[in-house]
This record gives sequence, C-alpha cells and structure tokens, in this order.
Amino acid sequence: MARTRLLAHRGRSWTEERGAIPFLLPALAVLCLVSLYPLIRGVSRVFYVYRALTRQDVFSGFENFGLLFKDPVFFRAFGNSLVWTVVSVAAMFFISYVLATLLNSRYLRFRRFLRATTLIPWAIPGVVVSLIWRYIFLSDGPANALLSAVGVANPPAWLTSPQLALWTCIIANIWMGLPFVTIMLLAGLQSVEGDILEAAAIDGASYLQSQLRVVMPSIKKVILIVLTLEAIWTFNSFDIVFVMTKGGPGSASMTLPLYAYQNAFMYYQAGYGAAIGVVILAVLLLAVVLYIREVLQ
Amino acid sequence: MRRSVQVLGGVAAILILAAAATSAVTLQFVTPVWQSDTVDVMDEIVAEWNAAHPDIQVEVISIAWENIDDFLLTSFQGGAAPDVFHEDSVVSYEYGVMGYAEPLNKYLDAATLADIPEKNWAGVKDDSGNIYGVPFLQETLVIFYNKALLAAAGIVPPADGMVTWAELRDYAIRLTTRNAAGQVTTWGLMAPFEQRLWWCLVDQNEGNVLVRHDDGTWHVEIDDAAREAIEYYMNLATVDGVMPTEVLSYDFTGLLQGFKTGKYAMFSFGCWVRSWIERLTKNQLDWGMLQVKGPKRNVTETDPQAISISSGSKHKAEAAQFVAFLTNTENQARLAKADWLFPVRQSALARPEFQTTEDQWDVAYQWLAFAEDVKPHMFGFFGWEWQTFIPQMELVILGKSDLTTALEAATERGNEFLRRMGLQ
Repeated sequence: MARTRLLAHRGRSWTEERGAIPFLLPALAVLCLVSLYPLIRGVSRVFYVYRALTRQDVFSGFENFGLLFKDPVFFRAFGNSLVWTVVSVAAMFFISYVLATLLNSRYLRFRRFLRATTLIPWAIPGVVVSLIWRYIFLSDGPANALLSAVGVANPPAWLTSPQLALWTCIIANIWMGLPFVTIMLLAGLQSVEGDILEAAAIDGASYLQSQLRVVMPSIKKVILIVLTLEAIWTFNSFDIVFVMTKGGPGSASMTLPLYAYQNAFMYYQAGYGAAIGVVILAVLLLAVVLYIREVLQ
Repeated sequence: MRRSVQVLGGVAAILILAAAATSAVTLQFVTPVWQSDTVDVMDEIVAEWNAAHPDIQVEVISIAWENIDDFLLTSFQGGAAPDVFHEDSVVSYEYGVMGYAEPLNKYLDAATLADIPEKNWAGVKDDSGNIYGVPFLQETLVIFYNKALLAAAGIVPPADGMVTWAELRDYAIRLTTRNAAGQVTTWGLMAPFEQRLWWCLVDQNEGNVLVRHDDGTWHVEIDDAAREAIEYYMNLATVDGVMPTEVLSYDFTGLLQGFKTGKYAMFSFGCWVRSWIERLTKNQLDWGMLQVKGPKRNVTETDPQAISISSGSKHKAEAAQFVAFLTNTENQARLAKADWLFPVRQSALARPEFQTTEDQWDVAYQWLAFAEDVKPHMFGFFGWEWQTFIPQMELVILGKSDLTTALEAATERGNEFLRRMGLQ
C-alpha cells in the first residue's frame, strides 16, 4: 500500500517537473560550457605528450599514467597530500569544535562580537593568508623573533627545513579553515535542545560523556558534511603551499595539485599534469560520493 | 544654420580624433623588473618611447619573476599573450621552440648582431638559426664574504679574489663555528642549489651531465669529472658540515639577514645582490666578493635575460621597433646600471660606470670574461633539473642516499624524462 502511494507520488512529480526542463536548459548549457567542456578537454590531454625534437603533441595512450607509477616525486606528493588533508581536517575539526562550544556557551561574554571575529580569516583571500603566514615564518620573521626572545638559540628554519616545511603550511591552512568549520558546527550546536543535555546530566553523564554521546550524535550530519567538504577543499588546495614553499625544499612539501600545476605550466608537460589531475579527481570523487550520500539522506 | 555648422564641425573633429586615437597601436610589454630603481628607469624609458611615438603606445605589465613563466605560458595558450616580453634567455628559446616567440632575425640590424657576443646569441637561437630574443642583461655568479669573519679566522683572500676549490673548502671549514652544544652558529658557505654554483663547478672541471649526441638527441651521461665536481659540492654539506641543508631552498631576505648577522660567512649569488647588501647593511658591514678558480677552466654563471616578441602579436613590426629602442646601447646601460647587472651589448658594457670601484662594480666586471650560461641549451632544462636531478641530490643532502646511488637514479630518471619530452 505504502509502495503504491510512493510510486504515485513520483509519477505526479515527474509530470510536474517535466514542464520545467525547457527553463533549465540554458543553465544546463552554461554549466556544460564552463564545467563539462574544460573537464573533457583536460582529461583528453592525458593521452598526449609534447615531443620537443619534432615540436608536436603526439598521442601516447596511457603512457602518462604509466609514468606516474615510476615517479618518486608523484608518490611523495601523494603522501604529502594525504598528510596535509588528514592533519589539517582533523585539527580544524578539533579546534573548531572547542571554539564552537565556547561560542555557543550562554556564559560567554561578548559572544556576538567573538562570533563575528571568528569569521575574519575567512574574509581574507587565500593568497594573502599565505603571504601573512610566510612572513610570520621567515627566518627573521615574528615567529623566530618570539622564539629568540624567549631564549631559543637556534630558531628553526620553518619554510626551508625539509622536516618542517609541510607542517608550517599545515598551520596556515588550519588557521584559514577554522572559521567555516567553527560556524557550521556552531549552527549545529545551536540546534541541540537544552532539555536533552539536562536529561543527560540528570542521568549522571559527565561533560565529556554528554559531548560524545549526546551532542556529537545529534549533529552527526553537520559534522559529516563539514568534514567531507573540508577534506575536498583541503586536498584540492593550492595557494598556501604555492606561496609559502613552492613545494620545497626539494619536494618536501609538494602536494598533488601543485605538482600537477608545475608539470603543466612550468615544465611543458600538460599531459603529465593532466594525469595527476585525473588522480586528484578520482580521490576527490570518493569524498564527493560520501558527501552526496549524506546530502541525499 | 551657423549653429548647425558648428555642431557638425564639432562632431567631425571628435570623429577625426577618435579615428586617430583608434589607429594608434598599443603594445603590451610584460617585464619582471622589480627593484625600485629598475622599475623607475623602465617607466622612464617607456614614457620616453610613448612621448616620441604617439602612434605606438606601450603599456607595461609588471609580473614577478616567480610568476612570469606561468603567466606567459597560460597567456600564449589562451591566445592573449602580450606583444613583448622580458624573460630568461633560455625561456625565450623554449617559447620559440614551442612556436610562442617570434623569430626576430628579419628585425635585427647588422650593428646589433655585431654588438652582442655570439655566446649570448647562442642562448636564444635554435638549430635552424632562428633568434627568439634580443640578449639583454647578464651577471656574474660570485661568492660574497664577510671581511671581518674572514679576518677573525686568519684568512687573507688573494688580491684578485680567485680561490681554488681547495681554498674555498678550507675557508668554509675555518669559518664554520659551533656552540658548546655542537650546533652551528656560523655556516662557512651557503650556496643555494638554485644559484647553480654546482653547475659552474662541473663546467670548471670540464665535466658532462647532459650530453647532446650528433643526431640531436639529449642524454644524461654523468662523467667522472662531473661526479668529482658534484661530490665536492655535496661534501661541503654532508661530510664537512660547513654548508646547511637549506641549500635546497632558501628565502632571500633570510639569506641576506643571515649574512648580515654572521649566520653565513660566505654565500653564493648573482653580483646584483650587492645592491641589497648595501641597502640592508647600510654600509656597516665590510664585505667582498670571491670567484672560484676552476681546476681546468674558469667559468661563472651569467644567467642572461632577453627581450622577445610573441608570435601571436598583431603588431610585430611595431613591437620590433620598441624592442630595438629598449635594447639600444643607452637604454641597456641605464637598465643594467639600475639593476646592478651588466649589459650584453659591448658598446654599453664599455661605459665607465660598469668598471668603477664604487660599489665594487670593477670586481664583478672583471669576471665577465668567464661568464657563460652554464645551463645546457636544452629544451625543458628546468623540468629535467627540478624533476629528476635535484630530488636525487636532495636525498644526498638529507643523508637518505649516497652519491653513487643518487647519480645512478638521476641518470635513469633523467633519461626517462628526456624520452618523455621527446628529446631522445
């Protein structure tokens, strides 16, 4: 019975929605032009290589993909991208959750002002954020000046040390990503009824237990969507590493988007760059599928 | 009636002026000049040109050196390239090979061809003799040193500033100091990979890394002389411990600051950095310059620049006129002086301002005799260097690989890269 009702509902919807198709076509055409066409063009580059001696782009089949598996810089960039994404997103979530909880507290003074200031990093363009952090971490920048002032004899070379360069970029990325995650989590926290928390407290739940067993499950959907979106954006992020370290020293902080860019626009290997782009696309599709599933639910 | 005539006359005048305005050609000129004095001189030169040529106006677009390659490449591919651009000679040549830079042979007069040495033309020429840029500015790669630190270490550099490999190593060892915990407080030498002292050493030892065969193909063939030079350079960091691992990557201001504060006793860079040392230290640091004497020949990197015309430009003849003006003796000399570089035109180079003792122009000048573009004249050189060679050297510097293994891997990966580029 329920099944019959559902099908009838679907049928009515389709009839109604069919009438809207002509109105949607122009938007669809624009979307294809600005999104689908570049994607197809980009992917088609994967099958070509530029031969300098003959000065021609020649069809090379899957050669560019084959080369990826022999390229240690690609593997390093892949590993770095995973570290960059996992650490950034995890840290963003943890710090943002604490911040959002604070900003949601009715005991916090100047709550509205503090909520507004939280958004500041988000209002600054990524390149500017990168330049600010680059300045902070220069060998004679404020970070090392502070360390010297507190008695550190040899402050680290944040941007030029192979061990530190990627982590320095991650710090900047976390700072830039905090506002979005904080505001989204804050919105989620505001939807949690106070009664539930009171009931949990009456049942003897500690603060931590309330957070883990009551609050987090209540805003699970928000958390999943935020984490998925942030993971996609972070994996795809380019500006911070490009401005702060250019992937160096050597390839110590190289990430996949930057490596794709370098190949395509600096080393005249558009096909190889496109192959790296396809790998990025494949990884991000996994996250996109997760995201769509959550949204549809 | 009279009013109508006046109105018609006014309209006609406006139309004539508009037609005149629209018939003027506007050339876009992309340049990476960035030092304030150079920017001022470039603006002056362009303003002089614009005042003298109302029908060919030039609009300057400033792009940083670090972004100019991708700006130009995407502009070429997008069909919106500037008419004239200022680049490294080797990049002008590469754009020519790809068909983005116009051969300039028909625009160059005999006087210009004769005034610029053949070694500079060779850097912008392909095998068929097409010239893709007018060689413009050059430098000498030098080793800056802190005179007080050398004196404190009891080092007296030779009067001509030429030091052998052994002397350079000895200086670096003696200048390196450590605190009680064993941490380095002063590094003897900082020679960033990007500045290519190591390439100079290879050339000085008559070594080969990239070899072109008779059939025109390129191959990575690292011979013993090259290996000896690379080993010498690497050992400064890995065995002697007198050069920091930051040679892989450095920040310019940090490097200069480090020189000022005594973190680096010597560092290798282009001679134009004199301007920044003067500016930063405000004449409070006594510094000098050294040149490395090769075991077999003397070579220093000249890193030449060139001015080119886009093949997609609709106003090539006008662009060629502007390039001729920009690169004439007078203007080359003005720009070179402002940028603390040297002009490639011999008529400009002969001017006394490039040989004066003030700001040690004469010291940098004397080594121009050895100045060559040490980068092999190979399409895709930078890609080969940074994708296949430097990553292996990085492993050696970081102690994750020995030199033999790294050079074998660099050879294998390098040849693979060259095959991919269609150079084999």
